[in-house]
Parts: sequence; structure tokens; C-alpha cells
Amino acid sequence: MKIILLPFCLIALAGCGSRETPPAEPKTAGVKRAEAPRFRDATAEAGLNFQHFTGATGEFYFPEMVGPGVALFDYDGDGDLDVYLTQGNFLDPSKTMADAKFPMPAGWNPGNRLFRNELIPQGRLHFTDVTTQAGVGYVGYGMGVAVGDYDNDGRPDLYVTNFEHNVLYHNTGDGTFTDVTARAGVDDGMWSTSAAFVDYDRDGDLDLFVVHYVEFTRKGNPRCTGVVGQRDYCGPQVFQPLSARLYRNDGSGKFTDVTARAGLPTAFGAGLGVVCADFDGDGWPDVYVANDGNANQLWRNKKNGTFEDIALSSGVAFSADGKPQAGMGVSAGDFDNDGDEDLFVTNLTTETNNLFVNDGKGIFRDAIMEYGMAASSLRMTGFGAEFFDFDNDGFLDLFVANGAVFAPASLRGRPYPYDQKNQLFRNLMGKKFEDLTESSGPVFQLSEVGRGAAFGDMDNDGDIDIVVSNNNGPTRLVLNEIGSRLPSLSVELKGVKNNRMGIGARVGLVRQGRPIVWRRAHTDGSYLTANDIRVHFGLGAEPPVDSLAVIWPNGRSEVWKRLEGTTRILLREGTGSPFQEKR
Amino acid sequence: MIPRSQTPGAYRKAFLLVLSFSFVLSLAASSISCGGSARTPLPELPPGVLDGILPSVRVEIEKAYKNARSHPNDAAANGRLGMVFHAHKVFESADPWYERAHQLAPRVHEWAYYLAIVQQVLGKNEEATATFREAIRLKPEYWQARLKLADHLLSRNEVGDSLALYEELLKQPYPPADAYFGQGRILSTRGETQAAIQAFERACELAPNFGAAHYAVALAYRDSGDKERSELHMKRYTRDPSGIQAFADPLMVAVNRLNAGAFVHVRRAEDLVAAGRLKDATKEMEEALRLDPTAEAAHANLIELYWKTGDWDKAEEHYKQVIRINPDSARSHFNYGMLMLQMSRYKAAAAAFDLTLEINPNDFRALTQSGRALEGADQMAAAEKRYRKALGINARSRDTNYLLGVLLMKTKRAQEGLQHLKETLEPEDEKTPSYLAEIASAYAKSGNRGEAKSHYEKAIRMATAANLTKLVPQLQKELMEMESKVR
Repeated sequence: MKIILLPFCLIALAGCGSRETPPAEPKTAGVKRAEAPRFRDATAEAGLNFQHFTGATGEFYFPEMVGPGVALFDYDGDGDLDVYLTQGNFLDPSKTMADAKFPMPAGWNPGNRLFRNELIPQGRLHFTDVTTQAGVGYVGYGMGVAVGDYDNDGRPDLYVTNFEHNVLYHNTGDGTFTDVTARAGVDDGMWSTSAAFVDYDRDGDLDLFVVHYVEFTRKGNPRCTGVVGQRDYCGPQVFQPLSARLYRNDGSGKFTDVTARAGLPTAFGAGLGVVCADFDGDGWPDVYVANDGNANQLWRNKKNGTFEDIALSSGVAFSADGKPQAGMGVSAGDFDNDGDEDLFVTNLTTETNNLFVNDGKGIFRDAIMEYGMAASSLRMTGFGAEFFDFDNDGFLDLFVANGAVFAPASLRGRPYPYDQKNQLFRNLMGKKFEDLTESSGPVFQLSEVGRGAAFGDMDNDGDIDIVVSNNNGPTRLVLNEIGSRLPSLSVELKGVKNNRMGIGARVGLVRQGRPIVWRRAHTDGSYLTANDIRVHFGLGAEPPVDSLAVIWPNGRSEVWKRLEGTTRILLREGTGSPFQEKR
Repeated sequence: MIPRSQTPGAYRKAFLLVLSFSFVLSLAASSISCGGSARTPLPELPPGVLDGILPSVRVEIEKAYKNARSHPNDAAANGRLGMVFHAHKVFESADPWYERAHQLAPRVHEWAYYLAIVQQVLGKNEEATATFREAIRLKPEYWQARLKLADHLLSRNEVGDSLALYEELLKQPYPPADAYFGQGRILSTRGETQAAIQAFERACELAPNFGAAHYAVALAYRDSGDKERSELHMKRYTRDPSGIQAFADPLMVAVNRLNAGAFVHVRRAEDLVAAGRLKDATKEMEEALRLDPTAEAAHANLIELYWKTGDWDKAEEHYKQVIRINPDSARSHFNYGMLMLQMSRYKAAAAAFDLTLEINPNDFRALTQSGRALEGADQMAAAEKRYRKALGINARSRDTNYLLGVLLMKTKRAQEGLQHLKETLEPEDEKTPSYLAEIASAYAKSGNRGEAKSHYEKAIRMATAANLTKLVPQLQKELMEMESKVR
């Protein structure tokens, strides 16, 4: 049983933030004790009981392969992360459980689920299914989920993507949600996958970017076969790809579809993953979309409400040898701590994943080979992935959730031959990645059909845990067992003129004699996923923190000083001192 | 079916004893004759490996399997089964049979080469490196093994050894373009951009359709600040992105020939379509159907291929066949609609597009083409509705904006027509001069000769710059005709 050393206290909202004392453990402890499993499966003990249902009846409907997604967010504001999971269903409404290839037990309730984390106040990581009370059990064919406070009322809202109609849930603040999709104008009849809240026009409220996959219809389901003629799922090339959609938040609880005006229908994707960040350092958020089988897109924000796709000239459209790959999940993060956002994209078996290294101006090169992760990705089909500092050494590591989409020969004959192992890579000081999969505990020996992967500190012990949403399998809570041996700092933002959650803000960790380490406040990235909004800094054995700088989405920046010993802090916009970044 | 351990009880034991004895005897004989022996047991077929597979593939596997089982010490028989599995991408099953073949005939380079390739695919990286080295030792002149090892080492970031191998290859009288490409990649990662450019350029010279090399050199020029050359190579890359230089590898050709499945032929045909080789693509699709008459994708593609190559009867025949397999094949209905449009059979075209739209009402391409069909049948109002619905789904569709623009011009709604025609000007590419000319013509018809002239002139300038030699005189003629009418 993991001991929770730091029960998460409610953070005072006033002033420049509240502080807690550092953990009692020594700073460098743990390095030698790392022989113990780094992660463990805490799903059962925490009661996170969720089994994904694909609704498969032998027709090989494409959407069955794609979900599910997961979100980590504190919906009730009690200081711990709750979990929202999307669920599949029968695509053919005439089917019953008797037709299902993988039937659910009697009494099973369809629809998405919300699990409340009882860590606070119980002091123990445990989940309770509160879907019905909360009113978020949409019954559709669930794909992904995005989290953002679209109405700036201080409470995170949910946008749920589906094979067909999407849903916007407004968090009312009393533990319940209201379906405001129609009123907000964000229903979307196309096959949506990942979505992201982003303040693309820097007007202080969150807009919504929704990625679409392909034009699949149940009626037009083609018969696809694998390499030896066996019936299998189709790939995206069989269908017409769709372009993404952008909704501008009008600030009144309504959104306007500005897709055409923004220039997005000039490129079509088969989009699966999305991440929003300022890749060229001009202060405006750009959007990167991972496309399955087609060129990925980097939508450069032209600062006038329009975007242009510059992926080709930026070097992030294809692999290093110019091949379009099966882009699935995507993560943006500064893994080499040089102050810009790099990209990691997951792809299909026989393709390598991509590690696009940014030169600071939005020009990238795929350095997956140099960083030692090419060979290990060739056998895997990656989906959810994220840069995250699991060992709190100050460098962003990588986790990849894997699961096949075509049945490999080695698994043929099994009922569901798509399982693969997930992978963990440790960042060696921004110079190389080391594959730690085999040595990271039995949970990394599980072979499942990984899809979404969300990242956040589930037990508030100062390190980042993972929730993996498996296709046709159980959700896994993968608890980090070693990160908290080194100190960390968790930063929560509160925007005032900017969006309330601070999505898109850049937080800089300032230490004497060191370059500033920049991290982005975000919930987007990975695959069909929403991550913990809190910005996490592993502090390693580095000098103490001097100050924290924040560059808000609207470009305004400020700094908070005298932070020695702080492990968690809430920074409210307008309460810091002016900040001038020295370059 | 292949019998698997079905001999019961004592019979089974006796059978195994005899089998083991004969196996040992034959191994000994094989060791004497071939200089090797198989240390690995005779592999069974993994359960399920033949489940649901195409009969033509099953026959090939079963035949090779029976032969290998009855000649357990024959390296060729064992290796042949490995090749059959390999050809069908059943790598896990190919691996032990290649391994046995290699053990039985350790001086035969083919088995080492094939084994190394399969080990690489299976992620047995250390083994693959050693086996590639063994293959090179056995037959140093088969340079493809050296190239594969160099690529393999590069994927593992063993850059020094990889570069040494590429450089060895470059000393050959006829070095492969891939070796220059590999060398360029390593130099590029080392920050030696100019040297990398030289290597990539050499690869492009040796193999002008080497898409990956054009892409790599475009990025290298970009990094060196040479925007013009970067754009030039990027254009060559985008013209044929899948034009990947496949170096000659007779051993792998021998493996690929053993593929008895339709899938590979469909994939190959799709690559040929992308490269504009429609007749070759047609042959591949037909071969796919010979192996699997129910291959829906092959039928759907053949409707399009025969329509484009002018063999309309065959296109229609494939449509009839595919709808028997899947009456809801949206792609086939669409392709058939396009065929009907080509044949000016507008009502039949409209009906086919309606079937497509029944399956997917949001298919804006089908909506657009349906509009064309309705226009052809003189149902202008219905056509306009379809175009507008298509634009509701994809407001930036160039084709749809063009068609609606022209329809509006025809129906004397010049202002709105021009608005839609102007939407066709992005992206700026080799089609832009034609769209500009259409706008010029629309201005001329609406009486705005000044705008018409300036659009014609711009179109001519752009067509000249893009070296569109047929278009330029045509546009000049149109401009002159318009000006003569003014006079």
C-alpha cells in the first residue's frame, strides 16, 4: 500500500499562494532504491472498476478500434483528481448483448462513467462511481474527452467526443453537470476523436478545437482483409479523411463555428491527436494535429483569427524520411529544457514514433533515432503518450500506451488479438532516452490494447501517475512508486483576465545560475485524453527554487518570489511582480 | 488441414520414437552433407495461424509446411517455409524455420540474410546485428546485407558502425543511392549540414524519384537557410512522395513472389495509382481478384481504373460484381457515378451518387458530383442545392466553389458567382492560372473588362512562371478575343 505523505490541502486562493512544507524524505533518496518496481497497478485496490465495451458483433466496424478516452480533473474542487471515462456501445442499435463478441455481464449499464476520488477527505485513494448523480453518463459511442472552464466560472467543464454527436457538460458546481451542447452550439455530427480547449484569439476565454477522423458510416462498412486474407478492421485509407473544426467562444456561453474562416478546411486529416502550444515562440498558440496515414498538420496561428498549415516546411508533417505515418497520439513538451515545445507523435507498427525537436523558432527535425527510441517503437502501435517527469529529476520522460489495430500473425487465433505492452522511457538529461519498460514493474508486463493515457498526481504524493484506458479491456490505474523520492513542485494557476484554468500559460521555474525550465499549463495532448491541469516540476537534486514566472495566454507575464520549500502553490493572475525574461 | 499431434496414446509414443530416430539420423546425414545441424526442434504451426485466411495462402503454407515436415533436415525445405511465412508477413512463424535452415546450412548466405531481416522486424535487435554480420561474411559481394545492417544500426543509434558501413558501400563502383541517403542522415544528425546536403543531392542524382532523399535535402537546405533550393526539393518530393527508391534486392524479390494473397497486390496497385501507372495498377488489381474474388477494394478500384483508362464496359462489370458482394459499398457507388458522368449518363450518375449519399449524407464529394450530374440533367435548382449542401460541410472545397460559381454565372447571378470563383484561388498551385482565367471570363461576361483583363494577365504570368506551355497560348488567345470584342 502506498503511503500518502502529503494529503492535499485546500489551497488558499488569496494573495500570491499558499505553501506546504517539503516532504520529509531526503532529496536524493531513492536513486539506489530504484530496484523496486517504479510503477504498480492500483486499479483494483482503488476501486476504479471500468471495463471498456466495443460493441463488436463481428462486423469489424472501424470505430470499435479507436476508443476509449479518459480525463483526469477535479470536478468537485476538493483537491484531488477524479476520473471520467468514455464508453463504447453497439453501433448497430438492433444488436443485443447476445450478439456481442465480448458481452458485458448482466446488469451492466451503458454510457460514460465519472469516478469521484475519495482521497480527500478519506486520506485513501479510492473511487466511487458518481455518474448518475453527476449526470454525465452520456450513452453514445464514446471517443475522447477535453477539459476546460469554458465559461470562466472557476469549475472545469467537460467536452465529450463521440462517433456521432458530441456533448458539452457544464459543471454547475454542486457536483452535477448540465448538458449545454445545443445552447452552446458545439454539437458535431462527424466522427470526432481528440479535442482541445485553447484560447486561440487570446481574448480570455477558451475556444474549442475538435479533431475529426474519417467519413465512416455503419451502412457503408466495407469488408477489409489483412495480409493473408483474413477479415480484419479497415485502415483509414479506405475512407475519406475529415478536416478539424474550430469553435470560437463568444463569451456568452455560446460558440461560433469559425472553421472555414480560420482556414482549416484547406487540409484534411484523418485526425486522431491534437495538442495546442506556441511552437514558434511568437506568443500565440498554434495547433498540432496527428493524422492517421496522412501528413500531420501544424496550424500556425496568424494572429488574425486564421491559421495556416506549415507542417511541411516545419518538418513535422512526416517522418525523417518523408513518409506519412499513422499519427495517433501526440505530446508537446520541452524535454531538452531549452525553452521551446518539442513534439512526440505515436505511430503504427513498422513505423517509428517521432520525436520532433524544436530549434526554438518552430523548425523541427525528427530525432527519434538519435535519442534511442526508434528500434523500440517499430514493433508497437502507439496511442496515448505524454512527456512527464516520472522520477522528478527535472527532465520530461515518456510513457507510451500501445495496442495494435490489425491482428498480427503471432496473436491470430486469439479472441482479441491486438494487445501489446506499454512502454516507459527515461530522459537522460535531455540527451537520450533509456527504455525502462522491462524494469518498471509487473504492470509493464501486462499486454493490453492501450488507447488513451492520462497523466496526473492521483494520490497527491508529488509524482505523476497514469490512467490508461484500454480498448475492450479494463482501465488501469498505474501508480508511480518512486517519483516522490525526489522533491517536486505542483503549480496551479488561476486566470483572471485570462481563462480561469490558465490553459496555455507557460510557467517558468527560476533557479540561481540555471536556465529557466518552462512547462505549459495544459490538459490536452496524448490521445482522446485530458490531463491534470496542474503544472508539475520535478526538482531533482538541483538548487532550491528562487521564483516562478508565468507568461499568461494573453502575453502578460509576472513572477512570484521567495518560494523555498514550497511543494504546491496556486498562482493567481495579477498577484505577482512584473517579469522580464532575460534571453 | 495440417494434422497436429492427433496420434493417441501408445501409437503416438511409438510414432514420436520413430520420428525422433529418423530425425536424428537425418540430422546426422544433413550435418555431413551440409556442414550444419538443427539445434532447434521442428516447429509446430502456432494455433490459429491459419484461421480465416485466404484459401490460396493456406494452400501455399500447407504445401510448404508438409514439405518441411517431411524433410526436416533439408535446409531448402525449411527455408522455403520460412520464405512463405515471410512473404505473408507472418514473421513470428518465419523466424524458427529460417533459424533451422541457417543451422542446417550455415554456409548458405540466403538463410542468414532472411533470418536477419525477420529478427530485425521482430525486434530481436542484437541477434539481427549478429546475423546480418554473418550474412555479410558469407557473401561479401551481396551488398544489400551491408546496407540493411547499416540501416538497422542507424535505427539503433549505433551511428559510428552504421556510417562505416555506408562508407564501405560508397566505395563500390556503383554505390546505391540509399547509401548516400543513410550517410546524409548521419551527417545531418551530427550537424554537418553542408556535407549532408552533398550526400542527399548525390542520392537524388542517382535516383531522381527518391522521395525520401528529396524530403531530407529539402529540410537540410531549409536548415542552411537556402529557401529556394529547399522549396525546389520539397516540390519534387510532394510530386511523388511515395517514390521511394527500392534498391534491387533479388533475395527479397524471391520472397515477395511467394505471396499468394490479394492484399499485397491491392497495396502495390494503390502505390502504382499514386505514381500514375494506371495500367500496371489495373494488372495488380486483377491479380488480387484472381486470388480473392471477394476483394471489395480491388473491385472498387477497378471501376475507377477502367473508367480512367477508357474501358467502360469492364468498369461497369466490376460495379455489378462489387454490389453483389456489398450493396452498400459507398466507394463503388461513387466511382460508378463518376463513370456515368464520364459517359454523360447523367440520370444514372445521379442515382449512383444518391446511393452514396444514402450511406453517408455528409459526403461532400458525392454531394458535389451529384450536383454535376443534376446539372447535366438540366436540374439546375436541384444541382445548386447539392452544391450548397456540400459547401455547408466543406466551405473551402475548391471543386464545389468552382461548380457553384459557374452555375451562378450561368443563371445570371454574377456577383455571388464571382465570390465562389474567388474561393478557388487558394491554395496557389499549378491549377490557379486556370481558375484565374475562369474569373476573368466571368468578369468579362458581367461587363467588367478591366478586372477581366487584369485577371487574364495575372493568369498568363503565373502560367508562364509555372511553365504551363499549353495553357499560356490558350489564355493569350482568350485575352485577345476579349480585347477584340471591345474594339
